Amino acid sequence: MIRQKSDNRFSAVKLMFRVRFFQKKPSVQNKEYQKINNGSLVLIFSLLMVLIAMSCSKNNDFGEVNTGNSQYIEGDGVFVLNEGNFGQGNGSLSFLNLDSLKIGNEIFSQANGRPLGDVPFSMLIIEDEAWIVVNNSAKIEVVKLADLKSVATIEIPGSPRFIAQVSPDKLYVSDFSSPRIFIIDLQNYGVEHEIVITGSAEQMVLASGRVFVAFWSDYHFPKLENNRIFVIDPENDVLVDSVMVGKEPNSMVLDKNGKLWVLCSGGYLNEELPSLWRINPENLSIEQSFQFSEINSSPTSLCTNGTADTLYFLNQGIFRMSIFDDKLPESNLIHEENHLFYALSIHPESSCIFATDAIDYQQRGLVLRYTSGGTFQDSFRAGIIPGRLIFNMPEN
Amino acid sequence: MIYDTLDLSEVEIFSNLPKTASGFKIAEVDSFAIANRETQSLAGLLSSTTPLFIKNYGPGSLATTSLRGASATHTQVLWNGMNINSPMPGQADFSQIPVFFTDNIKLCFGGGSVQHTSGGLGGSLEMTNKIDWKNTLNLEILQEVASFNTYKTFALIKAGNSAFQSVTRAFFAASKNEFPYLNNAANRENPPVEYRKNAAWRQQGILQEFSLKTDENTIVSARIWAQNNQREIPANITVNVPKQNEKMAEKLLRGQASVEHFSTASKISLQSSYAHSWMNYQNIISEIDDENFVNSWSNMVNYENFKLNRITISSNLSYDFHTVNSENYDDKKSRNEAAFFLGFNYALNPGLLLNVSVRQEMMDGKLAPFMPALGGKLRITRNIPVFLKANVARNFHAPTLNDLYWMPGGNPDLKFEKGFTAETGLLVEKHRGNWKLDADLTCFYSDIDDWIMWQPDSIYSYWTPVNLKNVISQGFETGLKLDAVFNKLNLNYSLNYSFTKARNKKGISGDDLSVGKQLVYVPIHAANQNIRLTFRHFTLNYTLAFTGQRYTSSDNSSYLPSFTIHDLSVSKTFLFGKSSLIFKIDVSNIFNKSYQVIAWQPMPGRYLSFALKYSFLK
Repeated sequence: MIRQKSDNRFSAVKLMFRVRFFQKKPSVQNKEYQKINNGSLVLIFSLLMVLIAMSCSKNNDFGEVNTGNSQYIEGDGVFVLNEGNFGQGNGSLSFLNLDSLKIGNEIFSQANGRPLGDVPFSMLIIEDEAWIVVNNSAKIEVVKLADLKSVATIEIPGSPRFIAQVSPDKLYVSDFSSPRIFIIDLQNYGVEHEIVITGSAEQMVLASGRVFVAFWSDYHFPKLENNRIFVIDPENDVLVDSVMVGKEPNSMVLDKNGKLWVLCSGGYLNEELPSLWRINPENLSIEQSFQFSEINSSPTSLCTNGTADTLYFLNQGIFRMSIFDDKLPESNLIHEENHLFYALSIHPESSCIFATDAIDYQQRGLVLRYTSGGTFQDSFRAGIIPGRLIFNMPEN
Repeated sequence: MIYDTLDLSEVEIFSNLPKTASGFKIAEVDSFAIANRETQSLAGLLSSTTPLFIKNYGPGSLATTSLRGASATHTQVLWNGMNINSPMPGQADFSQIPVFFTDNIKLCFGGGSVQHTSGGLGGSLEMTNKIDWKNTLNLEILQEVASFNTYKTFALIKAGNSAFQSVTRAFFAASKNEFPYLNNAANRENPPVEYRKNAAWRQQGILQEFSLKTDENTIVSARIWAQNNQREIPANITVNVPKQNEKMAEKLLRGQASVEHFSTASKISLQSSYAHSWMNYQNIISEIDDENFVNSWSNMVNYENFKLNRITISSNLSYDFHTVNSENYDDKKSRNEAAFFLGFNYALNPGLLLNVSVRQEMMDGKLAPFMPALGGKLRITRNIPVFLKANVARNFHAPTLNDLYWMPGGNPDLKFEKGFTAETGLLVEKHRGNWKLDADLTCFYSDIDDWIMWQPDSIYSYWTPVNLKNVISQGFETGLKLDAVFNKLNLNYSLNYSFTKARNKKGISGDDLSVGKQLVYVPIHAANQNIRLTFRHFTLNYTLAFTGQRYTSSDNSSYLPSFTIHDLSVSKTFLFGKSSLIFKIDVSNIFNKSYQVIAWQPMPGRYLSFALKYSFLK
């Protein structure tokens, strides 16, 4: 009486109407009652079958499915750390191959059969391996560059942010939540011990044989002033000194003269004017400092070109200045237009400008490419909240 | 017309629909379903017996709902007329509301919510406690033991006479909640079995009601609800965290006092309610140990008049005041809300009911958008009670106190979210001798503008809420209910299906691929079916709940697959004079389906529970 397609999952409603409760009105009362009961039973039975049929699916078919996966093509290009939403485990890794201009998405999970984790935040390439710091998953994933297969997973007992190589066999990992820097042995892929500092640790730069660590966030240290750069002696793994800069130093670079540049946002509550500082890492003196004029602005993502003579940063638009300039740039190099720039990086050889746009922070965001002169070239869809960009330039 | 061949008697489908909401969709949760799941939270009841999608992070964890594609803050939860959504996040957590503390649950879809509250852009859920004036003495004690070290104890004492009734309910429930699951974050192809950690929870509560008839036409009532909730918050399975990283504790105290007075052609009621909550959130890694205090005081006067021929006038005046003392705000914050409602229900003739209402609110002295609503119900056939209903309503939702004042990020310049809903549908009920059939179909359209979303500026900036999206939600809900008696066998069958297309219309830029796409975590398809057979003192209940695919990214590039959960329960009642013993076995998720309602938050597979209930009814 009733034909049904087993693959028609939502035919229940149609069916309900098709069964059409039951024929015409009979003359005798209880005959109708009988008929309706039969009709009802058939109806119920059919619906039951449909619903059972539609519930029969494979039992391992329950995890999140990504339809935007694409292939990893190794080579000259840029890794994109897609942070994903904090706490939602939807971070991922992308790689834009700059020869073929093809972007590979979800490439870590394709290589390893599992997700990268919650908020992949920073990454360091050491020889033929990539070390990916996954902040909220409290781990570092080490993968081979060739195929992205996992080499090791290092659990970090804290909230890891950045990784820096400080000697041939030693890495430092900065921590957001506690006053520590973890020390990792490059050979054993394990946390060896830690250095106690007096604040949280964010970005780290090796200069003049010492490690400069930005005290960016006072979230866990409300009584401390987060306007300092800690100086660590990497031979003895001890905090030796600190330099005072502006509030919330969020990014640092070294220029071609070996000077350390520090960009400070001025605080998330706009407590002070944002500022840019030049430090002599030899004697820790402040050689130069610039104040931004707008207290409500929050400049971030300080970076340099390959020759380390030009600085770039985000402050709604993309700004550029020479390390020899005696004032901050007045206008931007690239206007934001309809984008909202999230992160910035400069190609070390071509000086092409790469920026990310997370759009609504819930969809696959964009990696935007501009020429060194600031002309828009092309854009690529990466993952959710594309953040840091790490260039991979194999020798040759 | 699909129902043309039916011959129906003169009964309406929702017979206890309030007279003042003709043409609006207000559905009651089946009373047997409430009784059958009395040991569960509202999350468990609603996800398996209504077409609502419950966004559930796991047993005992946060559970909210999306009604017709709107957000969790767009579902208003009322307890005897008092809004119990927390003014901080603006939502209620269904995992913390015991079904045992309510006698009746109404789902008011879309414009159906405007009579009692604003802000229900998706709708509202109204829980009420009913008084049984015929009761003299009723005692119940119920013990349940379930999988994963779950223990629940419930007690009820109802005592009184035709002029005074007291109802006491108390419960204690706790679970270690270490259920096995397949960890697809460790290996997608061959997920290993692991046990959920740091997910234990414990709840205890008491609800005391007193009702007194001071004279034949006046009822004075008082209610006190106290509850203590503690839970660990497990991280998503892509996160490796040490034991007991996140914890939450909550203490709630709610009190209500009301007077209702009936006269021949009118009814007036006054109610004053007070709610206090203390919430503590701890995160060991992030070294957070926050305390939040919320005090709410709500007052309302309702007046209904039936004096005029064929016209019912209903009016409502309310004033609510909330204060929040939170470490997450820079200062003590408060909000006062005043509302006025006036509605006319007009029976033009026996076959046509019309409803017109207006609602005007003020928030902190600021005039909120005017809320008119218009509804109608028309009997479209002469011999058969088939009704056509339709309504339109305007609504708004105020930013939550977290949206306004959270530090950092809170945005005091947010605008109200504005909503418009329209719906139309058909209702039918055939009721004859020993069987009864109900069916309904409702098509809806809703437009929510200035939808609030949180987002950051750039990598080192904090998240801040903005009036960002414009969401159009369209779809339909249909239901079928059949009750029949064959000799000594009772059969009750119900089927619900809902189709929801909720799409974002406003793009941030030309690159925004969310335009025209389904909202995240709003299933397009949801259905459930319940079959209950009662024979002598045996009852068998079989529930099947289907949840369709949910997108997890706004460009719809990722999704979670659909899942169907089957539950079966069998109970047997033994009678001993005025006492009875009920023994019940529940098998939940019979087919041991692995599923995640929220990505990377596992749900339990098959589990069992045994319950023994003793009742004494004088």
